[in-house]
Amino acid sequence: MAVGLLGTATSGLQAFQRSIATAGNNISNANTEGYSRQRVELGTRPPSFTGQGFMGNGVQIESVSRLFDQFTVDRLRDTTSTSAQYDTLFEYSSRVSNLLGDSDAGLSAGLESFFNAVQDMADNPSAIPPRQLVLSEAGSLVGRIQNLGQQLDSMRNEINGGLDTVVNEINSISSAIADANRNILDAVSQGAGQTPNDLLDKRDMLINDLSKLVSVRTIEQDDGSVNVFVGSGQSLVTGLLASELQTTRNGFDTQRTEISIVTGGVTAEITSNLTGGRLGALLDFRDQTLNLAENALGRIAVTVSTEFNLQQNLGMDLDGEMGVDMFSIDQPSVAAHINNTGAASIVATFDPANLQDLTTNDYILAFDGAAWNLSRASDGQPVTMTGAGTVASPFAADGLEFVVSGAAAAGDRFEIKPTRDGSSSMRLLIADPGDIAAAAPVVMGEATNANGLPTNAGDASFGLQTIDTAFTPLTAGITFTYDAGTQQFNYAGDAAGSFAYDPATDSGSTFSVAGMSFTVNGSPADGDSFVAAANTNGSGDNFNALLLAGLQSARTMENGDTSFQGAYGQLISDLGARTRSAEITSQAQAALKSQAQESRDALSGVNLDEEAADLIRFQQAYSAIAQVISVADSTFQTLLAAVGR
Amino acid sequence: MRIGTLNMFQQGVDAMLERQADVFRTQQQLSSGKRVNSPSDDPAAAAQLVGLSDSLDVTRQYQRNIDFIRSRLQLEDSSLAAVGDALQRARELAVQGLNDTNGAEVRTGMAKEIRQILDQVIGLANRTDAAGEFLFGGFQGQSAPFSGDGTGNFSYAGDQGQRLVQVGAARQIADGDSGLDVFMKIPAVGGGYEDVFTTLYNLATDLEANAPNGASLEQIDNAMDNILGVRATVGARLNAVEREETSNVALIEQLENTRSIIEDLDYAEAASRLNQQSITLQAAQQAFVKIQNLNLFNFL
Repeated sequence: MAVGLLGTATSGLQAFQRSIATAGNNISNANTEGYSRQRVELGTRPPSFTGQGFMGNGVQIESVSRLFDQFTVDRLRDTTSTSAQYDTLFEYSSRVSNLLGDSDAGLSAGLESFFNAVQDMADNPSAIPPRQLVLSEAGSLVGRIQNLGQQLDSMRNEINGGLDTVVNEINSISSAIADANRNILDAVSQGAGQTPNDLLDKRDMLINDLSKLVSVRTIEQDDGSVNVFVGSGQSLVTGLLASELQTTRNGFDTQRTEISIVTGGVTAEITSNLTGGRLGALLDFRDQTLNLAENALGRIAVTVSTEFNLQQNLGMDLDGEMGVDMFSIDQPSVAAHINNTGAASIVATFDPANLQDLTTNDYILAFDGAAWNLSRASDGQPVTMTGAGTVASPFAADGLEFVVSGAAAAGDRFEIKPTRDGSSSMRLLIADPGDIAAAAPVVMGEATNANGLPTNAGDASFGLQTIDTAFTPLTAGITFTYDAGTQQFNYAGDAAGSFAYDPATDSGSTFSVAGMSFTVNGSPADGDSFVAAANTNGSGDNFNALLLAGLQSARTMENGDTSFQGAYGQLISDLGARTRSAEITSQAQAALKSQAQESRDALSGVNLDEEAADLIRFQQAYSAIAQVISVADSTFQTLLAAVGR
Repeated sequence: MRIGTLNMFQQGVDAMLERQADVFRTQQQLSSGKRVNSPSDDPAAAAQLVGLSDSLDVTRQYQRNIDFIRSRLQLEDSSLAAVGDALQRARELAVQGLNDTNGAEVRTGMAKEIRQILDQVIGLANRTDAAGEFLFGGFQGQSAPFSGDGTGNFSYAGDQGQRLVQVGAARQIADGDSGLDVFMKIPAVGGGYEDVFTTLYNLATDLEANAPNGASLEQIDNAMDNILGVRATVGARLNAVEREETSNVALIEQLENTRSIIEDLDYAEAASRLNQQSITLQAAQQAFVKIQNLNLFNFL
């Protein structure tokens, strides 16, 4: 009987020792991330049957269990993934919006200084210093745009490099999960049905770490292993096997990193399916925000350059020559897909006449076997083109023109990035301040005699309004002579013809001859004549300088809705809104993650006070059961003494 | 409800970090004086600020243009005033010259003075501005517009160009007049036009020949009328420039005001916010320390 008592007491000693050890383990791991507290589950030992009935035999350890709830763990994993995604997105978006929004480094101040210099030049067109200033401000505007473009480029490189790092991390974590699966299977088979708590915690931690990098789904198998899926169901870990993610090159652009998964030796590109986590954020930022920023900045560079050049070409410089281009800019970049089988090639150009229709989109021009179709690269939305794709009648859409040469095969595709390289390719072409075309190439006035005395009898006057692209420099000039009988001006010289003019109704109207638009006012007498002549030595003329300066506020962008600065303001606002939305979502997700962590810890987390209380409880139980041994001993001694007497 | 000790610790730390971020943001606003420090603070405002900065800048440029055109117009006005005075003197001499009490000798003396006046008017007509550009040459600002051959033939080598200056968003004003309009296009008594130099030359020649011509007086009057007419338009342009300047100043003030409303910080509000945020941060710190000390192990 005393032996039975000792046995019972020993079972209690063991049980409470284990309980104390487990409390100790909990306390030790109180600061271990992902640790789920453990509890020794106690049960009664099988009783012994005696004639008097069943006698209890003490306590036994049923299991060491882990306090754990799959639902809270899943929720924590989801919020971890989204939280990491928006943290990263905010980090990068705010870099871009702060870069472009900075009042010193941004584009705004550069545009303002440049156009101020043009205005100063218009005030004093014959002087060299204001022209020199225009050139130096143009140089710093180009420098600014290039610098911003380079910063965005280097951010793109950084992201492409970051994708490599993330993919490596994902691969090492997924193979660690596969290892964990193996260890768990081994442990389960050795442990005769007992769960390997610490290994399970470890695997949960690995999956949690993985979800910081990319959003994953898991399915637990009956044997205890876990399968992990990314994207739209691509299997990353299947039991003991991990599939590798790989960075691959984009079919249009070898600089652009794509993500592929390798399963059984087959590589499949899954970039567009990947969401969440740092990886999802990097891809999202690169393909949305960064593309928008770079394209929008490039579009401003393209429009400023082209519009300025067009106006330059319509004016006359200080040397009496028609103005040359002031800026150069790359035409839209076109890239054939690596899988194209046909021989077609595409030349894309900006359409200066419809430049205001330029968008910030990239496009795909694809041949379906019968026709060419244009679509937006970002979402595949079709874009309507006009024209036939020939030199005589190019395809035209959104301020762009495409000429196709060679035969395409069905399925051939080309990617067109109209303004991506706009900012980095902008250059200043003019070095001589005299090359700025401040003057009009023509000067208009009434006829005079050899001494410069006016000869007209009437009070009519001609006023130059605009020069257009039809204008060619005058040599002999054009003389307009009024015929009061037929009420028309007959003109001769570099161009010949006539137009009707009735002083009673036409005074103040605008007429157009040989690329020149001008107003006629007042009543000419019969035989009165007016002269349009080359503006030789017209260094004091600022006609074209005023038009150049006027480009600052001209609505040349967004379908003619806004100016350069307006388009830049929209970009800043758009980037700011994206950043703000990422920030707000990131804060909200942090709060959700914190809640998920709280509810997971409410069950699984170690509470030191609780463990302290448990320690006291088990210690007391241990002391009590030790007393039972002492009682058993003294009972035995009593018996020995009685027998020995 | 159970709370994990690590979670409790982490939440305490998170709370402090968040409060610190609030304090930092307010501090940043206070030190910059701006409510919007990056586009994400207020995206709509950031776009508005770009537009406002542009409008302000361009309006300030119009003011610079106005300073420029004003000095040009004032120079033209003073030149024309001097021409007017000279012609006035010439007219007096012409009136005296017509008086037959004056003999040939006196008239020759008068003619001498008129020739000096002619030289003076030619000088004024060939005047340059501070940058060396001829005021009355139209666009041909680099060479003297008026010349005479010494035998009474005067010619104008300038053109009829008139330069405009942008003084407001929709307002351009001419910063001068061509020599043709000022000195050449003067109605001649006998029809057609006669330039002011020929008028003076003929006056002097007639007096030298002791044969003053009554019509010359009328011709001088025509010249003076023309100069006065041009001066009147210069004055009108100066007034217009003045008005444009006033409206630009008002616009700048209004734009600055709008910018201030959008961008500037309400210091009183920010200061009291900082105060409140500091108190909250302090409370979070104190609570953290207090709670971390509450531990059953301390009593074992």
